[in-house]
Amino acid sequence: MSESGKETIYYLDHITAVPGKAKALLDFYMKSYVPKAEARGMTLLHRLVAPPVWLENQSNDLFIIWTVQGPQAWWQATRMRRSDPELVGFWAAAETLIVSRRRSYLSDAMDVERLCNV
Amino acid sequence: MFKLTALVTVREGADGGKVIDALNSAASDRVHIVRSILEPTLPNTSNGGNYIWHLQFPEEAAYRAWKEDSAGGKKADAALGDRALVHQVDSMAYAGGRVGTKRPLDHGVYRLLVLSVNRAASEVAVAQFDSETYEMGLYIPSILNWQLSRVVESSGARRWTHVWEQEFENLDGLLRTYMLHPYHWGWINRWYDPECTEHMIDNYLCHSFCNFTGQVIAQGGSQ
Repeated sequence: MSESGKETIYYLDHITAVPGKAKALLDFYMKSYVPKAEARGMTLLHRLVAPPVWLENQSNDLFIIWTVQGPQAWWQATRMRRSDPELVGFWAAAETLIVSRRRSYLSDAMDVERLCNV
Repeated sequence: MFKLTALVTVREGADGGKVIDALNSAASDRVHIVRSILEPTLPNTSNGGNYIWHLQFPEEAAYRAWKEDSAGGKKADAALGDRALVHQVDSMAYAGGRVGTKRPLDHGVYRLLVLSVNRAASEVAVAQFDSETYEMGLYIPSILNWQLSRVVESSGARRWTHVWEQEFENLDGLLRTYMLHPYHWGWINRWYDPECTEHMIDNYLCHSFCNFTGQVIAQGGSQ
Protein backbone atom coordinates (compact mmCIF):
# COMPACT_ATOMS: atom_id res chain seq x y z
CA MET A 1 0.00 0.00 0.00
CA SER A 2 1.32 3.45 -0.95
CA GLU A 3 1.06 6.89 0.64
CA SER A 4 -2.26 8.63 -0.09
CA GLY A 5 -2.09 10.64 -3.31
CA LYS A 6 1.18 8.89 -4.17
CA GLU A 7 -0.22 5.46 -4.89
CA THR A 8 1.85 3.62 -7.45
CA ILE A 9 0.04 3.60 -10.79
CA TYR A 10 1.24 1.07 -13.31
CA TYR A 11 1.09 1.32 -17.08
CA LEU A 12 1.04 -2.06 -18.76
CA ASP A 13 1.82 -2.29 -22.45
CA HIS A 14 0.87 -5.83 -23.48
CA ILE A 15 2.18 -6.26 -27.00
CA THR A 16 2.01 -9.34 -29.19
CA ALA A 17 4.88 -9.19 -31.66
CA VAL A 18 4.92 -10.32 -35.25
CA PRO A 19 6.48 -13.83 -35.30
CA GLY A 20 10.25 -13.57 -35.08
CA LYS A 21 10.19 -9.81 -34.44
CA ALA A 22 9.83 -9.55 -30.66
CA LYS A 23 13.50 -8.86 -30.00
CA ALA A 24 13.61 -6.20 -32.72
CA LEU A 25 10.43 -4.68 -31.35
CA LEU A 26 11.79 -4.55 -27.82
CA ASP A 27 15.04 -3.01 -29.05
CA PHE A 28 13.09 -0.38 -30.97
CA TYR A 29 10.90 0.30 -27.92
CA MET A 30 13.94 0.69 -25.66
CA LYS A 31 15.70 2.99 -28.10
CA SER A 32 12.84 5.12 -29.39
CA TYR A 33 10.14 5.12 -26.73
CA VAL A 34 11.81 4.67 -23.35
CA PRO A 35 14.00 7.81 -23.22
CA LYS A 36 11.10 10.06 -24.15
CA ALA A 37 8.74 8.42 -21.67
CA GLU A 38 11.31 8.66 -18.91
CA ALA A 39 11.73 12.35 -19.68
CA ARG A 40 8.02 12.72 -19.04
CA GLY A 41 8.19 11.32 -15.55
CA MET A 42 7.49 7.65 -16.20
CA THR A 43 9.72 5.02 -14.59
CA LEU A 44 10.35 1.76 -16.41
CA LEU A 45 9.77 -1.12 -13.98
CA HIS A 46 9.72 -4.30 -16.07
CA ARG A 47 10.21 -5.50 -19.62
CA LEU A 48 8.93 -9.05 -19.50
CA VAL A 49 8.74 -11.53 -22.34
CA ALA A 50 6.65 -14.68 -22.69
CA PRO A 51 7.72 -17.28 -23.30
CA PRO A 52 11.28 -16.48 -22.20
CA VAL A 53 12.80 -17.54 -25.49
CA TRP A 54 12.93 -15.45 -28.66
CA LEU A 55 10.60 -17.33 -31.00
CA GLU A 56 11.35 -17.41 -34.72
CA ASN A 57 8.10 -18.62 -36.24
CA GLN A 58 5.65 -17.71 -33.50
CA SER A 59 4.74 -14.61 -31.54
CA ASN A 60 6.24 -13.54 -28.26
CA ASP A 61 4.21 -11.42 -25.88
CA LEU A 62 5.92 -8.43 -24.31
CA PHE A 63 4.68 -7.01 -21.02
CA ILE A 64 6.28 -3.63 -20.44
CA ILE A 65 5.41 -2.03 -17.15
CA TRP A 66 5.87 1.60 -16.15
CA THR A 67 5.05 3.45 -12.97
CA VAL A 68 4.17 6.94 -11.81
CA GLN A 69 3.39 7.98 -8.26
CA GLY A 70 -0.21 9.11 -7.89
CA PRO A 71 -2.97 10.41 -10.17
CA GLN A 72 -1.53 13.93 -10.33
CA ALA A 73 1.71 12.49 -11.72
CA TRP A 74 -0.32 10.34 -14.11
CA TRP A 75 -2.07 13.44 -15.51
CA GLN A 76 1.19 15.34 -15.78
CA ALA A 77 2.81 12.51 -17.73
CA THR A 78 -0.28 12.13 -19.90
CA ARG A 79 -0.39 15.81 -20.83
CA MET A 80 3.29 15.70 -21.74
CA ARG A 81 2.89 12.47 -23.72
CA ARG A 82 0.00 13.84 -25.74
CA SER A 83 1.85 17.00 -26.64
CA ASP A 84 4.78 15.02 -28.04
CA PRO A 85 4.00 13.80 -31.56
CA GLU A 86 7.16 11.66 -31.62
CA LEU A 87 6.03 9.68 -28.59
CA VAL A 88 2.58 9.09 -30.03
CA GLY A 89 4.14 8.43 -33.44
CA PHE A 90 6.25 5.62 -32.05
CA TRP A 91 3.28 3.28 -32.31
CA ALA A 92 2.75 4.03 -35.97
CA ALA A 93 6.44 3.50 -36.64
CA ALA A 94 6.36 0.15 -34.80
CA GLU A 95 3.21 -1.06 -36.53
CA THR A 96 4.96 -3.53 -38.83
CA LEU A 97 6.40 -5.34 -35.78
CA ILE A 98 3.12 -5.63 -33.86
CA VAL A 99 0.22 -8.06 -34.20
CA SER A 100 -1.83 -6.50 -31.41
CA ARG A 101 -1.37 -4.45 -28.30
CA ARG A 102 -3.24 -2.99 -25.40
CA ARG A 103 -2.35 -0.40 -22.80
CA SER A 104 -3.93 -0.71 -19.35
CA TYR A 105 -3.61 1.32 -16.17
CA LEU A 106 -3.40 -0.65 -12.94
CA SER A 107 -2.87 -0.31 -9.22
CA ASP A 108 -2.23 -2.59 -6.30
CA ALA A 109 -5.59 -4.02 -5.23
CA MET A 110 -4.89 -2.68 -1.73
CA ASP A 111 -4.83 0.88 -3.14
CA VAL A 112 -8.20 0.73 -4.92
CA GLU A 113 -10.34 2.01 -2.08
CA ARG A 114 -8.05 4.94 -1.38
CA LEU A 115 -7.70 5.84 -5.06
CA CYS A 116 -11.49 5.93 -5.35
CA ASN A 117 -11.87 8.04 -2.22
CA VAL A 118 -11.00 11.42 -3.75
CA MET B 1 -36.06 17.86 -24.10
CA PHE B 2 -34.05 19.41 -26.92
CA LYS B 3 -31.05 21.62 -26.16
CA LEU B 4 -28.85 24.22 -27.76
CA THR B 5 -25.55 25.01 -26.08
CA ALA B 6 -23.02 27.53 -27.33
CA LEU B 7 -19.59 28.38 -25.99
CA VAL B 8 -19.03 32.00 -26.88
CA THR B 9 -15.66 33.74 -26.96
CA VAL B 10 -15.97 37.51 -27.19
CA ARG B 11 -13.33 39.24 -29.26
CA GLU B 12 -10.69 40.89 -27.08
CA GLY B 13 -11.53 44.53 -26.50
CA ALA B 14 -15.06 44.15 -27.91
CA ASP B 15 -18.17 45.13 -25.98
CA GLY B 16 -19.36 41.80 -24.62
CA GLY B 17 -22.46 43.50 -23.25
CA LYS B 18 -23.88 43.81 -26.76
CA VAL B 19 -23.56 40.07 -27.28
CA ILE B 20 -25.10 39.33 -23.90
CA ASP B 21 -28.03 41.64 -24.54
CA ALA B 22 -28.69 40.08 -27.93
CA LEU B 23 -28.53 36.53 -26.58
CA ASN B 24 -30.76 37.34 -23.62
CA SER B 25 -33.24 38.94 -25.97
CA ALA B 26 -33.16 35.95 -28.31
CA ALA B 27 -33.77 33.65 -25.34
CA SER B 28 -36.74 35.62 -24.03
CA ASP B 29 -39.19 33.65 -26.19
CA ARG B 30 -41.20 31.69 -23.62
CA VAL B 31 -43.36 30.08 -26.28
CA HIS B 32 -40.58 27.82 -27.51
CA ILE B 33 -37.91 28.01 -24.79
CA VAL B 34 -38.48 26.46 -21.38
CA ARG B 35 -35.10 27.23 -19.79
CA SER B 36 -32.20 29.49 -20.63
CA ILE B 37 -28.84 30.15 -19.04
CA LEU B 38 -26.16 32.64 -19.95
CA GLU B 39 -23.26 32.54 -17.54
CA PRO B 40 -19.61 33.60 -17.66
CA THR B 41 -17.23 30.67 -17.58
CA LEU B 42 -14.99 30.12 -14.58
CA PRO B 43 -11.17 30.25 -14.82
CA ASN B 44 -9.18 27.34 -16.26
CA THR B 45 -11.57 26.12 -18.90
CA SER B 46 -10.03 24.74 -22.07
CA ASN B 47 -11.48 26.03 -25.34
CA GLY B 48 -14.46 26.84 -23.14
CA GLY B 49 -15.28 30.38 -24.24
CA ASN B 50 -16.11 33.39 -22.08
CA TYR B 51 -19.79 32.44 -21.80
CA ILE B 52 -21.91 29.33 -21.76
CA TRP B 53 -25.25 29.93 -23.42
CA HIS B 54 -27.68 27.10 -22.91
CA LEU B 55 -31.28 26.84 -24.10
CA GLN B 56 -33.83 24.09 -23.53
CA PHE B 57 -36.82 23.39 -25.71
CA PRO B 58 -39.65 20.94 -25.08
CA GLU B 59 -38.85 19.14 -28.33
CA GLU B 60 -36.88 19.58 -31.55
CA ALA B 61 -39.81 21.16 -33.41
CA ALA B 62 -39.84 24.05 -30.93
CA TYR B 63 -36.11 24.54 -31.52
CA ARG B 64 -36.65 24.58 -35.29
CA ALA B 65 -39.46 27.13 -34.94
CA TRP B 66 -37.31 29.33 -32.71
CA LYS B 67 -34.40 29.08 -35.16
CA GLU B 68 -36.58 30.58 -37.88
CA ASP B 69 -37.90 33.38 -35.69
CA SER B 70 -36.40 36.78 -36.44
CA ALA B 71 -36.55 37.68 -32.74
CA GLY B 72 -35.15 34.28 -31.74
CA GLY B 73 -32.65 32.15 -33.55
CA LYS B 74 -32.03 34.60 -36.35
CA LYS B 75 -31.27 37.37 -33.86
CA ALA B 76 -28.87 35.07 -32.02
CA ASP B 77 -27.20 34.02 -35.28
CA ALA B 78 -26.66 37.66 -36.21
CA ALA B 79 -25.07 38.46 -32.85
CA LEU B 80 -22.88 35.37 -32.81
CA GLY B 81 -21.90 35.94 -36.42
CA ASP B 82 -20.71 39.48 -35.79
CA ARG B 83 -16.96 39.08 -36.21
CA ALA B 84 -16.31 42.50 -34.68
CA LEU B 85 -17.78 41.26 -31.41
CA VAL B 86 -17.38 37.50 -31.39
CA HIS B 87 -14.12 35.63 -31.89
CA GLN B 88 -15.28 32.01 -31.65
CA VAL B 89 -18.51 30.09 -31.19
CA ASP B 90 -18.84 26.36 -30.69
CA SER B 91 -22.50 25.50 -30.93
CA MET B 92 -24.26 22.19 -30.45
CA ALA B 93 -27.93 21.28 -30.88
CA TYR B 94 -28.99 17.94 -29.44
CA ALA B 95 -31.82 15.90 -28.07
CA GLY B 96 -31.15 15.33 -24.40
CA GLY B 97 -29.70 11.85 -24.01
CA ARG B 98 -29.53 9.49 -21.10
CA VAL B 99 -29.87 11.27 -17.75
CA GLY B 100 -28.57 10.24 -14.35
CA THR B 101 -29.58 11.87 -11.07
CA LYS B 102 -28.40 11.44 -7.50
CA ARG B 103 -30.01 14.48 -5.95
CA PRO B 104 -31.29 17.80 -7.28
CA LEU B 105 -29.16 20.92 -6.90
CA ASP B 106 -30.48 24.47 -6.87
CA HIS B 107 -27.00 25.86 -7.41
CA GLY B 108 -23.52 24.58 -8.09
CA VAL B 109 -21.11 24.13 -10.95
CA TYR B 110 -22.33 23.14 -14.40
CA ARG B 111 -19.70 21.59 -16.62
CA LEU B 112 -19.77 20.36 -20.16
CA LEU B 113 -17.27 18.54 -22.26
CA VAL B 114 -17.80 18.83 -26.00
CA LEU B 115 -16.03 16.26 -28.10
CA SER B 116 -15.74 14.91 -31.59
CA VAL B 117 -15.55 11.19 -32.26
CA ASN B 118 -13.61 11.25 -35.49
CA ARG B 119 -11.88 7.87 -35.77
CA ALA B 120 -14.25 5.30 -34.33
CA ALA B 121 -13.69 1.71 -35.32
CA SER B 122 -17.42 1.04 -35.36
CA GLU B 123 -20.78 2.15 -34.02
CA VAL B 124 -20.37 -0.63 -31.45
CA ALA B 125 -17.30 1.18 -30.12
CA VAL B 126 -19.17 4.47 -29.96
CA ALA B 127 -22.05 2.81 -28.11
CA GLN B 128 -19.57 1.34 -25.64
CA PHE B 129 -18.01 4.77 -25.13
CA ASP B 130 -21.49 6.23 -24.55
CA SER B 131 -22.32 3.58 -21.98
CA GLU B 132 -19.02 3.87 -20.11
CA THR B 133 -19.20 7.67 -20.09
CA TYR B 134 -22.73 7.59 -18.67
CA GLU B 135 -21.45 5.29 -15.92
CA MET B 136 -18.95 7.93 -14.80
CA GLY B 137 -21.88 9.37 -12.90
CA LEU B 138 -22.39 6.07 -11.10
CA TYR B 139 -18.78 5.70 -9.99
CA ILE B 140 -17.62 9.28 -9.38
CA PRO B 141 -19.35 10.55 -6.25
CA SER B 142 -19.11 14.27 -6.96
CA ILE B 143 -21.14 14.01 -10.18
CA LEU B 144 -24.64 14.61 -8.86
CA ASN B 145 -26.58 14.96 -12.13
CA TRP B 146 -25.38 14.08 -15.57
CA GLN B 147 -26.39 13.61 -19.18
CA LEU B 148 -24.65 12.36 -22.29
CA SER B 149 -26.13 13.42 -25.61
CA ARG B 150 -25.30 12.95 -29.25
CA VAL B 151 -25.20 16.13 -31.28
CA VAL B 152 -27.66 16.66 -34.12
CA GLU B 153 -26.02 19.74 -35.61
CA SER B 154 -22.99 21.76 -34.67
CA SER B 155 -20.66 24.54 -35.68
CA GLY B 156 -17.29 25.71 -34.52
CA ALA B 157 -13.81 24.27 -34.35
CA ARG B 158 -14.90 20.68 -35.02
CA ARG B 159 -17.88 18.64 -36.18
CA TRP B 160 -18.99 18.00 -32.61
CA THR B 161 -20.58 14.62 -31.92
CA HIS B 162 -21.20 14.48 -28.15
CA VAL B 163 -22.05 16.77 -25.26
CA TRP B 164 -21.24 15.42 -21.80
CA GLU B 165 -22.91 17.54 -19.11
CA GLN B 166 -22.56 17.29 -15.36
CA GLU B 167 -23.63 19.17 -12.24
CA PHE B 168 -21.37 19.38 -9.20
CA GLU B 169 -22.02 20.85 -5.79
CA ASN B 170 -18.80 22.85 -6.00
CA LEU B 171 -15.64 23.31 -8.04
CA ASP B 172 -13.68 20.83 -5.94
CA GLY B 173 -16.06 18.13 -7.12
CA LEU B 174 -15.00 18.81 -10.70
CA LEU B 175 -11.34 19.76 -10.42
CA ARG B 176 -10.39 17.23 -7.77
CA THR B 177 -12.79 14.32 -7.44
CA TYR B 178 -13.79 14.08 -11.10
CA MET B 179 -10.26 14.51 -12.43
CA LEU B 180 -8.51 12.25 -9.93
CA HIS B 181 -10.99 9.41 -9.76
CA PRO B 182 -9.55 6.21 -11.31
CA TYR B 183 -12.69 5.58 -13.36
CA HIS B 184 -11.66 8.72 -15.24
CA TRP B 185 -7.89 8.38 -15.73
CA GLY B 186 -7.67 4.61 -15.48
CA TRP B 187 -10.62 3.69 -17.68
CA ILE B 188 -12.48 6.35 -19.70
CA ASN B 189 -9.28 8.09 -20.69
CA ARG B 190 -8.30 5.37 -23.16
CA TRP B 191 -10.88 6.64 -25.67
CA TYR B 192 -9.05 10.00 -25.64
CA ASP B 193 -5.47 8.75 -25.48
CA PRO B 194 -3.62 8.61 -28.82
CA GLU B 195 -1.38 5.88 -27.38
CA CYS B 196 -4.29 3.56 -26.62
CA THR B 197 -5.72 1.34 -29.32
CA GLU B 198 -9.25 2.39 -28.31
CA HIS B 199 -8.45 6.04 -29.14
CA MET B 200 -11.22 7.58 -31.25
CA ILE B 201 -11.76 11.12 -29.98
CA ASP B 202 -10.19 14.22 -31.47
CA ASN B 203 -7.69 15.73 -29.04
CA TYR B 204 -9.25 19.16 -29.46
CA LEU B 205 -11.94 19.30 -26.79
CA CYS B 206 -14.07 22.00 -25.23
CA HIS B 207 -13.99 21.74 -21.44
CA SER B 208 -16.12 24.51 -19.99
CA PHE B 209 -17.84 25.22 -16.71
CA CYS B 210 -19.74 27.94 -14.90
CA ASN B 211 -21.76 28.55 -11.77
CA PHE B 212 -25.47 27.92 -12.03
CA THR B 213 -28.63 28.49 -10.06
CA GLY B 214 -31.74 26.44 -10.70
CA GLN B 215 -31.72 23.17 -12.53
CA VAL B 216 -29.65 22.81 -15.72
CA ILE B 217 -29.75 19.15 -16.56
CA ALA B 218 -33.40 18.63 -17.18
CA GLN B 219 -35.33 15.49 -16.48
CA GLY B 220 -36.56 15.29 -20.03
CA GLY B 221 -33.80 13.00 -21.32
CA SER B 222 -34.02 9.27 -21.68
CA GLN B 223 -33.19 7.21 -18.59
